[in-house]
Amino acid sequence: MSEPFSSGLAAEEVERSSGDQLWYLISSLFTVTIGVIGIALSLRMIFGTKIVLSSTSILPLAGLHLSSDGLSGLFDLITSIVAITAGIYVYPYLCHSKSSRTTASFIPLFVLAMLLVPIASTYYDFLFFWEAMALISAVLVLANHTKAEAFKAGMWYIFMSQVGFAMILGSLAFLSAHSAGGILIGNSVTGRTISPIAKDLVFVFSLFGFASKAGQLPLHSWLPKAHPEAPTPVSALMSAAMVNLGIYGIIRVDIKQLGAAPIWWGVLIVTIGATTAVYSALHSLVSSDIKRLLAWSTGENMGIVICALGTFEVLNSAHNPDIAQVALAGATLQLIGHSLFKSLGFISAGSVISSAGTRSLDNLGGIIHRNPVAALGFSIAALGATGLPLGAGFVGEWLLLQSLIHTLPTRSTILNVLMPSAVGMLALTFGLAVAAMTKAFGVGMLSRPRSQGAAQSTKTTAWEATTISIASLLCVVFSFNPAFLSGIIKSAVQATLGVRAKGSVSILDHITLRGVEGSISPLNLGLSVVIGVILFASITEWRIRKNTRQLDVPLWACGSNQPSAKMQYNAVSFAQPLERIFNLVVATQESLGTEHADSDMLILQSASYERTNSDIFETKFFPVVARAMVTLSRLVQKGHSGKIRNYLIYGAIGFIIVLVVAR
Amino acid sequence: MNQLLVSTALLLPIVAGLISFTFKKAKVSEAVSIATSLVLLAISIVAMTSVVDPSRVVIDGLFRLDRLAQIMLLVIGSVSTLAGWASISFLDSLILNHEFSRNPQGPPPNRRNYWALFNIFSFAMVLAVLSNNLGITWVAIETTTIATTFLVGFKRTPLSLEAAWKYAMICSFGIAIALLGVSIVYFAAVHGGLSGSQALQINVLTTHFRLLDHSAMRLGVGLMILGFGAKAGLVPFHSWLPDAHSQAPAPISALMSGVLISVAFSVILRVVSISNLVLGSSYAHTYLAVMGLASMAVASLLLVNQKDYKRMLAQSSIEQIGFVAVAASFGTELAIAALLLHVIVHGLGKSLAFISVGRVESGFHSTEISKVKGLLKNSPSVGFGLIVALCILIGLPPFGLFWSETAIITSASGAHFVLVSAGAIAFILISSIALARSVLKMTLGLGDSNSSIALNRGFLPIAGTAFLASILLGILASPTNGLLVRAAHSIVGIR
Amino acid sequence: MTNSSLIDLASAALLLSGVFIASYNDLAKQGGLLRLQGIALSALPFLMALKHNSLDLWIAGFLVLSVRGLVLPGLVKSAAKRIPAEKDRSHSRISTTTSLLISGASTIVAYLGTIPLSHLDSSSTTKASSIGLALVLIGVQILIFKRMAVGQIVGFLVLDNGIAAFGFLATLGVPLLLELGGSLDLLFAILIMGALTSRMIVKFGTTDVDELSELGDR
Repeated sequence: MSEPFSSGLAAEEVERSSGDQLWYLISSLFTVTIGVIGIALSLRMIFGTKIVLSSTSILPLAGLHLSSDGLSGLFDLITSIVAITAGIYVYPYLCHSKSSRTTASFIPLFVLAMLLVPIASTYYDFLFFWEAMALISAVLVLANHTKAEAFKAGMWYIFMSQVGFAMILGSLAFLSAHSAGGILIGNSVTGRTISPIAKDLVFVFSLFGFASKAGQLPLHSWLPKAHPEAPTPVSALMSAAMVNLGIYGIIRVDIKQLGAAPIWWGVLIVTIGATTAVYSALHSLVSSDIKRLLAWSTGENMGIVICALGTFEVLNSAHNPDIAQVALAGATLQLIGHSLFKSLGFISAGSVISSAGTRSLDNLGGIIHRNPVAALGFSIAALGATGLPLGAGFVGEWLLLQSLIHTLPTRSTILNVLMPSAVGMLALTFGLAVAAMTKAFGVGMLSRPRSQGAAQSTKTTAWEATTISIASLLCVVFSFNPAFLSGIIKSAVQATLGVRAKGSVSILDHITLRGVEGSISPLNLGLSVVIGVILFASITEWRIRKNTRQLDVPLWACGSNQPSAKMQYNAVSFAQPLERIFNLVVATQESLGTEHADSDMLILQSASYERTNSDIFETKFFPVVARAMVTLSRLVQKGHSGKIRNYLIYGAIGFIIVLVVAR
Repeated sequence: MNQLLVSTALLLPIVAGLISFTFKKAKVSEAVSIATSLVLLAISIVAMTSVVDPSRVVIDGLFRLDRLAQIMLLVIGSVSTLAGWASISFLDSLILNHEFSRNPQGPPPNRRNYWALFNIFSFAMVLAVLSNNLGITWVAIETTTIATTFLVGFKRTPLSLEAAWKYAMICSFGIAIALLGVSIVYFAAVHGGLSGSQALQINVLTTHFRLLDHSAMRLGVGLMILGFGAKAGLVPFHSWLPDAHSQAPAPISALMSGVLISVAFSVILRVVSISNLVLGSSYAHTYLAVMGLASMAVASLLLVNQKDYKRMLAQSSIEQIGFVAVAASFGTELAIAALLLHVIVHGLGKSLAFISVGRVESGFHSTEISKVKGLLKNSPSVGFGLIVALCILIGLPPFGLFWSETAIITSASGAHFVLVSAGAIAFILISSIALARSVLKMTLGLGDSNSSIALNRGFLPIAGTAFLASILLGILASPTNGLLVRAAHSIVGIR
Repeated sequence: MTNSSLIDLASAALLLSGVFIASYNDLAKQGGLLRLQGIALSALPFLMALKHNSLDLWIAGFLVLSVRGLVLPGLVKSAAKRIPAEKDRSHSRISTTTSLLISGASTIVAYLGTIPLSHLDSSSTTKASSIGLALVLIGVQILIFKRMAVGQIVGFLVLDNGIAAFGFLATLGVPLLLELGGSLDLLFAILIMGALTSRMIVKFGTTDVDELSELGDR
């Protein structure tokens, strides 16, 4: 009896899912198309053609005003590139996860909003697109809202993004009121009419607001929650494109519009960036969720970018424009590099996750044999994230370090203290990042599979493989030869400086720094490393072959016959020494549960181990704020407990106050 | 033309009220009432297309269809259309519930009374908006209390009775204070030499403002702002709102939250424009800033720990009207234009919110936030309606409130306004987070799959209309901008 | 007696009746005093009408006499009969002494509050308008501190009488239109409050407004 019914249901299901697939395809195509158009337009913006669009018949009270300069071009270019790779990945991801149509249709909208933010030419429109971007991304983060974790992540995101927006709204509305026509792009005299104190406040609030979008302390907690919980293409878009717009805000408003700055502004920026970099790198290291690890790494890399921007600001205030430009170029390159390797990282991680069915590093392993394309893609991304030579993150970090090192010696005490400590913190960050990525790649991709899912994971589909290849190719080309971006960097730097400054960084096949002694050639460096590795490998191989006294012996397996997956290093044990050292920051909670088979508790039947790391801001700082709000709320509630007499008394008090005031 | 439009707008609701009261057939009252609301909407649109002279007074100088009145008429017309439409199914389900309940409390709800009061309520609001005479305005505002007290107590439960009593007492108290203020203004005008019949006419007061005595006007204006503030839901007379809104039928809550408080505020705007001429802008603006900020503070803090979703929406209304008062205290043309947009879109958003929670209440039989879960999954259209309403109310793009909030904040450029706007931003932040938290808790996540709400006829088109209208108001600038700016100019430009 | 001294007498009667209403707890007595107050209030427009020979004031006088002097106090009195006596509950939250003290303070506040008005017009009636304001404040006091629903209604009526008295004393009455609309609204408001009170008896068995605290935030 039940058979026709169920087959009918199944048919309906099939029909629905094929309709959904078409929907996914369209979403994917739209995203890619927007990306392609975005690249074309942003290249035009970068190389001189200003794009201006104005209409007063849409958007009430404000009107739509778009305009561009080199800076807008740079950010739109990055977003568009990420949109293309992530956009291609949208289709296979959505098909695999059977996402809702809402999710599918919001992805292209998200890209569109992100592309519009940098070209909004008035404060109003900037705020509009900014908040639209936040709303759309919140919807996407909440795509899996029926999962408790995703719901929580979405709530954190909404909460932080509203706090950040309130700060941005306050400061930008003030600037808008004090600038002619509320123009944001192409008018840098805004700051001159405001009193210094107001300017300081505007700076601080907008900085914290924008920094929150880039996942910086203290409003960072949303990032490591929301990015992992979002659908993977969205994670890629958020981590590789949306966070950049926080940086855009800082450059556009705090550096460009507010103009000449006291030295402590730069110091504050460097402090935020460097602290976040170390903090996020630590958390990245102790994460055992692969997406969470990547998300923390995003915070870390944005911290480096912000540190570079702060260095630029400090050096500018200290009248050292040549080296300031080095820092700015470093920020730009780091930004581009990060976007390339992070989108690659998320896409290949996504592929790994969908084939192995788990996000936990402790359940992965052995991927390189079963899903080699994804593992290889991930390795390229991880290399980029370490900031080592040959990786996409190398050049930017090198430039930043150069600028920091060459600042010394100056007359300012602050700088003499700040710069070396920044170098120290960055060095620590790089070290931790190397460890984190080694862990992610080593534990997740190499070694033996730790779960059935990992053991049964299969090759990627051709579609996914194509995506990963394209993203990897971009990464490799960028890391070996950033020279082809020199025009773009130059244009962005000049747009930031506002004047046609003479370039102190030339990025050809060699990156040469004028004013300080320094040059580097990533291509030559890369080639020599590659040749070195090949040589080393061949020599080793040759020596092994030559050696005839080879013996085949079984691997030592702690006394058992076969080494099992449980004997290898796992994500937790890898990070454990560092976790102990930095326990104050990563706040590890461990719990060991044991069950015994006998009443004397001598025979262990089973044991369980649980471990969580918590974000101290999330567990210590925000609950205090929340409790304070609730206490205040209780107080007000006491006055509104339902007694009509109290209500009438409030009115009577108001009445008497008016009688007194009006006299 | 002015006279025709004004008299139609005033007479039609009365006629509709009489028809609804006399005819037994529910269909007739429904049709007549909704048609009346639509005609009010049409009148406002016709008036806006500049066939009327906004400065002309009609019928012995008692009424005037000026730009503010046109916009308020638009709000009344649109929201009462939505509310009337939603009332049909509301009454159906209420009567159905009554028939099926084991021990019905009291007689069944009476459709005739409902529709008659509904129309009287509309009439009183139209009267308040069109009146050019402070006395008539006062009578109209008092009439809204009389009409809505029974509507608040319509469900005849003990709780609704309590709400109605509080509503009647607090509002009557506030309105009485406003009457004292009106008397004092009359005193000042008569002593300034105006004739008794003209002494309360707003246009006469604004032209002859130099005749008015300062100290008397200070008292009169202060009392009027305080008193009419009671109907607007401003501190210190704000406490009736959550009680009344949580007990009133959902469509009536929509009308009260979406329109009534704005209508009362438009009266305050008129008082303020007189006061600005006589006393300079700082006097009334200080009242508005203080009362506005206090309302925002109280409401947003109450929202933090709110457990009841209907009270939550009411408190959000207090917060919004507080923000409107803050906007009025800035007093620039931009701020006033934004304020008007705010009022229009808030009306739509609040109606959508109340109509949606009305469905939720009828499905879950509880107004506790914690009892409701997984709406989006189990009853997608209601969940979606509620989420959209949330987005409208907390001022997210692309809805109109985003623009009004941004513009209002931007218009605070002077030194002491910056402090006020900083406070306003903080309270908006608190309330929007609190609101988002509660609404998302209700809508998202996995709910009990048995608890899906039976969808009734009309919900989707009503919600869709409100959604579309508020999105259009957030995106199109072409007709709205001109209207808003002209209206703001006429309000501010009296100076 | 001259016209103006009669006006003074009526004003004094208004204030005194207000003070007594505030200090009494017996509804029937309050109703009687309210009637007295209404009649004293209607005396104001009548006396002024004699002096100024104005038709509007005559009409206003009759309106006040019928609504505030007869109908509304009558309603209160009938309510007092209908409502079961609740002997075990005190009718006021404050003692008679406190009530008298507050009334006195109200009078002083009212006097101070109307100083700006008497600067504008030094006629004796305008000076007496502080009595109106004092009555308003006493009304507020009753509204706040009476426990029974009808007591609150009485307070509201005293408040409204105060406003009307203020209007007559300060400016020879507000325009007839406003007076008419105001009286009508007042009548309706009181009728509605009365209806709610009878529902309260059915639903709660008491009219103690302190029992009405189910709704609220806690």
